Amino acid sequence: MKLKMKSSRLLSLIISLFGLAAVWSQTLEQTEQVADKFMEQGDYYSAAKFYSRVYFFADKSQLGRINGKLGMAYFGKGDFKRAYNHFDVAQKLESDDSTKTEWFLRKTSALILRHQYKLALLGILNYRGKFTSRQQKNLIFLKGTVYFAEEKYDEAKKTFVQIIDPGDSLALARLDSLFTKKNLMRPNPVTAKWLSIFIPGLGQIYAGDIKNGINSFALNATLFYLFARDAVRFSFTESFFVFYPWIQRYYQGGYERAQRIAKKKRRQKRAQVYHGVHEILM
Amino acid sequence: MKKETIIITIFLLISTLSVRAQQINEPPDYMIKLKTVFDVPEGHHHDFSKPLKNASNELEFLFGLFYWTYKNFISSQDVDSCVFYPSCSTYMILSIQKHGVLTGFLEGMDRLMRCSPFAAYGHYPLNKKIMKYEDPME
Repeated sequence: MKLKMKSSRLLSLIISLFGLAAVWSQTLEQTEQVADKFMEQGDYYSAAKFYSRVYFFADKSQLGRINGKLGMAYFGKGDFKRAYNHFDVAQKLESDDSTKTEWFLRKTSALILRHQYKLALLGILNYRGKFTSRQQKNLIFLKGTVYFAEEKYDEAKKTFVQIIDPGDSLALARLDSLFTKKNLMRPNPVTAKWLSIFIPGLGQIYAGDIKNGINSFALNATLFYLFARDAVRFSFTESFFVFYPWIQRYYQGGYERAQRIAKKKRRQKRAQVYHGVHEILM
Repeated sequence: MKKETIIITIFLLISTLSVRAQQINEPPDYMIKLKTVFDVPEGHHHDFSKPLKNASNELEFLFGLFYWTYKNFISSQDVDSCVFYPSCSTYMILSIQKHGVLTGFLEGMDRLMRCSPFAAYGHYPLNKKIMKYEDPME
């Protein structure tokens, strides 16, 4: 009986060892292939997990490539901070010029997506690597995007024009029609604010939010009417102490809101302009 | 017959080449992703009519109606003065829904009395994303 127990334990141990051997048989290359497959499927979370495993065991010669791939996985996940760090290491470790530039471009786009425009511009202006014509085009586009983000629209337009073929008059005209004052500078949040200071609700209407404008005007008009009525009926001081806190809240709330609405509207219009530029140039 | 076969083969070859050319000209993924860099998030859309729809009696319906009117026409024009999340009006309506009109109303009043920039400091966890003190309905 004792022997039987022992032999069954031995058997299970052998089976477990075989199982372990099967796990061991997965090489770094295979793990990387699995991660590549996850990347193809768009499962960036799993891809990052597998690339991290490869990264841990990889030797020095593989680190550049794996860092780049890890950066791409994090980029896909939307974690641009980590993506930037891995692209940065990949760029430093890479010896091939074209691949080095590719990591640099990815690194710069990660910076732009993190809204770190000044740092991105600094990198672009200081980069001395070699480019393919396609990479050159992408770099100019990134530079234009940074100028656009910094609200230097003339510089941005000049930069974007460099990518367009001079003979392509249609694309040039489309770009011209996008870069107008109306598209980029209107509605002006400061104007919206001052309009609402003079006549409550007018700033909202100017920014395109008519419902809010009418709402603000009606509310403030009612409060001002009640204030005036009580000032005449009782006394100015009494009416002031009763209605001032209300008027202050909704009057100030109205013009602050007008400014916010105008800011949002302008940002939306700028995003539309950029979409247009992207469609023309990419 | 042979001529036709040759023409079809050439046509197929050309179309394959054009597909390949399109693939090469496609911008890389990071340039595509960049398109959304200036997009403005739409923000959460709140349904203020929910308490109206979920009211179990006339009094709750009345409070739901007050809440809907206040949120749509008055609170929307106000300066951002409430220090808590959820706001006092939302807290009160949630409380009314959960504990009934009387207890809910009293709890809402209690919240209104606690709502001051000085009272909240250190007592409630600060949600740094919206810069409001967390005081959920329990």
